[in-house]
Amino acid sequence: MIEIVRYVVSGLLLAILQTFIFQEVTIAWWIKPMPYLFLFFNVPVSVNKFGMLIGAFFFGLTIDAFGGSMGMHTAACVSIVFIKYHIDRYFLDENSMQLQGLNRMHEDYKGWQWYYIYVFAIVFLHHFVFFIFDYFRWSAFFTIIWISFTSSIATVFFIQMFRLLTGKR
Amino acid sequence: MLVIFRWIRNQAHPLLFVLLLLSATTQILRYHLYQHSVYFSNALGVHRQVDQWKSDITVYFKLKDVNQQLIAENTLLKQQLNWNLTYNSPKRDSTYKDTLTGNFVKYEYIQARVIRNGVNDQNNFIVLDRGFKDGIKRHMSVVSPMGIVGVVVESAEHYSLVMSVLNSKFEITPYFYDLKTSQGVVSWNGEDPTMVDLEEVNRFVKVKTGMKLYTSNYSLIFPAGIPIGTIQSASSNLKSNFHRIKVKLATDFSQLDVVSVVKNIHQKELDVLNNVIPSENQENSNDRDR
Repeated sequence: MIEIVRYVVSGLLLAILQTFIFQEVTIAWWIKPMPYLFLFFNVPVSVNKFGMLIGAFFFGLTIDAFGGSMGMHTAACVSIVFIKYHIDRYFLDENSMQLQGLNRMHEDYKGWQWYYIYVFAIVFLHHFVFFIFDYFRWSAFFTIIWISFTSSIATVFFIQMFRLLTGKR
Repeated sequence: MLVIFRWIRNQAHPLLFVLLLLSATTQILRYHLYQHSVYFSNALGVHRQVDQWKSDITVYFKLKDVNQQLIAENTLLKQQLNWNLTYNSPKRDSTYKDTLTGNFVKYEYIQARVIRNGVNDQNNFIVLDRGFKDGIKRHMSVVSPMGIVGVVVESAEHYSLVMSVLNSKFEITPYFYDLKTSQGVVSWNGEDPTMVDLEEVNRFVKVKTGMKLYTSNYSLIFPAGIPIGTIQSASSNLKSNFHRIKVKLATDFSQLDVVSVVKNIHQKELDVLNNVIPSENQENSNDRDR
């Protein structure tokens, strides 16, 4: 129960940070970091998949409600949680993770290269879904790819910063 | 039912995902003006395309009805044509109404379908799916949208027998539209079902290939102005006083389907008058109409 409250509180904080800082501060038009994804990487892989989907829905809804981007973050969060569940199922071995004392993806599991590929891939997919809904036209396909790529790099950078700040390694 | 519930239970996670994604997408399309307009303009385009496909498919199922409507309309239009109107009014007024019949038209058209047709014999006959119960009687002319077809020689209760133009006993006098004259006799020689001979045309008449031939207004059976054919070749020599003319028939007898049987409203009067004439014309009146 305490865990759930902790996730809800950190979710709210991340939503506020996203809305008031990362959404407002423009680094470049092609860099739109969304470090609130940090929350999803913090949740243990063994958590209930239905609860995770519903949680992601309301988390996205909160960010949308704060930032006025109705539905976009919700769609991206729901999509990424669904995709992440399948990625975790096929690429992560829970037994060997437990042996290493891990309950989520970590550098210690298969090395830092795999960790960053994993994080970047999920972040990129999230951003891709988000920008598809944002641009909403086929002619902007390569722009969507480009902006997703550059924003993903920024997001991964900020996620690492949060990890360092919160001491979650 | 159990299978469906089992499937829903097994697919609950993807289904929940789709449900939540749809909910989010609905919000996007509802609250974002740009996304809303893009979606609805595309959806409208798709809707129109689907409508077009649907229309392309369903039009084939309606062709029979459309065909029937066109035949009915064609019949109505024929009845409104100028040459179809009676000219026995002293004022020659096209709106003149005949006090005898109550009609102002001279001809009535009865639609019929060809159920038997031949082009290979010397004397070809056509069978129609309408008989005297539908008002078809002997000596009525039969026309198609292409041109003349023949003359009714016998009618049963529900069927009638038509002497085709492709019959050696059929003869008709044509009207030369370009020369404004009626002359000669069109008849079939029993060879090519697309060609007929035109004989007894004086060699001093300036006949040219390509001239159109129609039924003349002297005909007691056919209405005037129905296409007979086009002159294909014409030759003459000093030994004969007449041209030798080949005419390509307007009607393609291999394609006959729907025809109109023409009923002359004043036929009885004409028959009475015709019987008064004590000449050899009577014996040919069934098939040679001068």
